[in-house]
Amino acid sequence: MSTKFKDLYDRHIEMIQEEQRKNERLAIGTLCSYVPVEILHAFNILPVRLWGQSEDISQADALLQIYICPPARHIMALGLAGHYDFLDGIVHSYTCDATCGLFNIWCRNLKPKFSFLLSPPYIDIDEAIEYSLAEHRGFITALENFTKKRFSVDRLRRSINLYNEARAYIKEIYDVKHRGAPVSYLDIYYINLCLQVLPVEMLISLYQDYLLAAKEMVSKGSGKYRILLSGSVISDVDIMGLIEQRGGDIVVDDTCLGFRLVQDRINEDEDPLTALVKYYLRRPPCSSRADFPARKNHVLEMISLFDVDAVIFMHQKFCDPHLSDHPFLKKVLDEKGIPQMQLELEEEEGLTGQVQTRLESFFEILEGK
Amino acid sequence: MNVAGIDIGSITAKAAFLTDGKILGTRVTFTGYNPEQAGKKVFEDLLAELSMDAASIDRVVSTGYGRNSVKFADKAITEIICHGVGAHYLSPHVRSIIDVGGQDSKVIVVGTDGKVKDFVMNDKCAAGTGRFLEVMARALKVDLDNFGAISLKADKSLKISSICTVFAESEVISLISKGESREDIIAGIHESVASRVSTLANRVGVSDPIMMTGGVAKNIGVVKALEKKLGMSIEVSEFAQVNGAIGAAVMAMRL
Repeated sequence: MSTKFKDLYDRHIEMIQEEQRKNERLAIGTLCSYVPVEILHAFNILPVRLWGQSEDISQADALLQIYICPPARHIMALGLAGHYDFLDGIVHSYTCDATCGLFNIWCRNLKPKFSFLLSPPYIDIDEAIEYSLAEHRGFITALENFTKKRFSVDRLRRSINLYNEARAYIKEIYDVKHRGAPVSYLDIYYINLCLQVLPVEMLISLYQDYLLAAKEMVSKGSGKYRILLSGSVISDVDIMGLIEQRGGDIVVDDTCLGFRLVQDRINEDEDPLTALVKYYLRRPPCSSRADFPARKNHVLEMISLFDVDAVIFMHQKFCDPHLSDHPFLKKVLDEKGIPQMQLELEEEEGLTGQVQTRLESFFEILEGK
Repeated sequence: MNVAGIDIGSITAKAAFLTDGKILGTRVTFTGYNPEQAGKKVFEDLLAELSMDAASIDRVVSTGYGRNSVKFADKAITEIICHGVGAHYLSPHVRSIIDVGGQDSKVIVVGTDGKVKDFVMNDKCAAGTGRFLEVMARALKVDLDNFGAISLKADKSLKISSICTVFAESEVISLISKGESREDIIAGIHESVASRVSTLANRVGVSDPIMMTGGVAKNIGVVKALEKKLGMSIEVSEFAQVNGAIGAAVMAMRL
């Protein structure tokens, strides 16, 4: 495993602050993968996905009940501990109730200078595009008022181009791994995560270099069980490490950080804002979008495209959207004879004895013991 | 060929020796704070009991939460697999195993060949485990070994939380101070464990014949309460508590 992208992620807070100081750029926190970072970038703003684990989650317990998913509570605890004090604002694109609640509680308690809540549509119909355009125009107006800068379509076009380029490289890294390059999923995880928290223009050449190096590696295949990792906010690298160590090779994911976000390209041949809203509306949905047929098709498509042997669901405790989806996806996989298991995580607790036993048992079952 | 299975649970460590596929002997001891020592002790005690020496054991497989601390084992295999294999060895027609141990409960579904098809484990919570019963036995000042027999004399089963051990303990203390009979309280405690475990069983799609294993299988009150909840009869082998160790020994034969 290369530590380059992990090191970058570990330093992202100081790097963003340095960029704020050096180039007088604003930094805005984003909640969920549906925030159109391209628009923030077009305003020369640094989008920073709120992500991570606090040392003391209990700080958030006075504001968020313990039946709220651990990632939301961790992010609130990070905010209360001053981890994100450098941010100039926060944007949430409404996905699930827990994150929307987090956004509102964050605004009430931490009082950011700028806050905006986008409400993306659920159904892909013409009216939804019109509605979404209006929502995004409202977001642009709010940013114009906050930054005192005019929105530029050309700048949005340029930002879209950069994100398309970065996503295309990441998509190709998945592809190179699929073709047998010995790329660890932990690398891919941090590669994806960096795009959520660091300036896109900084990452493109790094992605390009990584891809070139991966392509040069002898393709021999891992000989391991090819795993699809499905879930929401998955950040437990110890568990990913155990999956790889125990005989699994995570070849593709269905999470709010991974392949779903890089699979499609924003059309650069049409009006940039229209193309942008279509991308967010039409890309494979998160379970919070309540579109089970699309979720099912996406998961089955990934299984076929990446020759997946088994699926591991990693669900956050109390994550209603994913826990509602799971029984239906499980049924579909059972009917198709695709082995699957579910890990429900509490407070991102890591490799407890129970989690270890469940995972090891799953691989022992795959081995036919 | 002589083989050994060592199952290190949170409360007890178990050993089982097989010779040419037949059970030679089994032993149970408390795990205490050092699972490595407990594994060594239960193995050596069984050797001594059977007048054998370590060199006569050809292979050892360890299992249970402390499986990786058994340094002399040739291989560590999870308790899910070992309980499935152990139950199939003892009773090949069994299709589901309900294992309730000290710190967790699990339901395992096996195929006709004894291979595990699916399984489910409890959450990180003592409710529905042996630890829950231990806490209640302490609150009632009753020896846990007598719990099953006492509950069979109950007139009714009192309602006790199946969600939280701490809440359930304070409910039990309230019931004691109200003057409720010990028998009825214990029957309620068993029903509480059965509620929790049957939820797991229904989640994984339990089917009969069912075998119950683990230390809690020795408690007839829990077994009866579970049978009632599931509407199915449950087999309990004389080797229920050492089933995981037997499964580990069977796996050692296959190495």
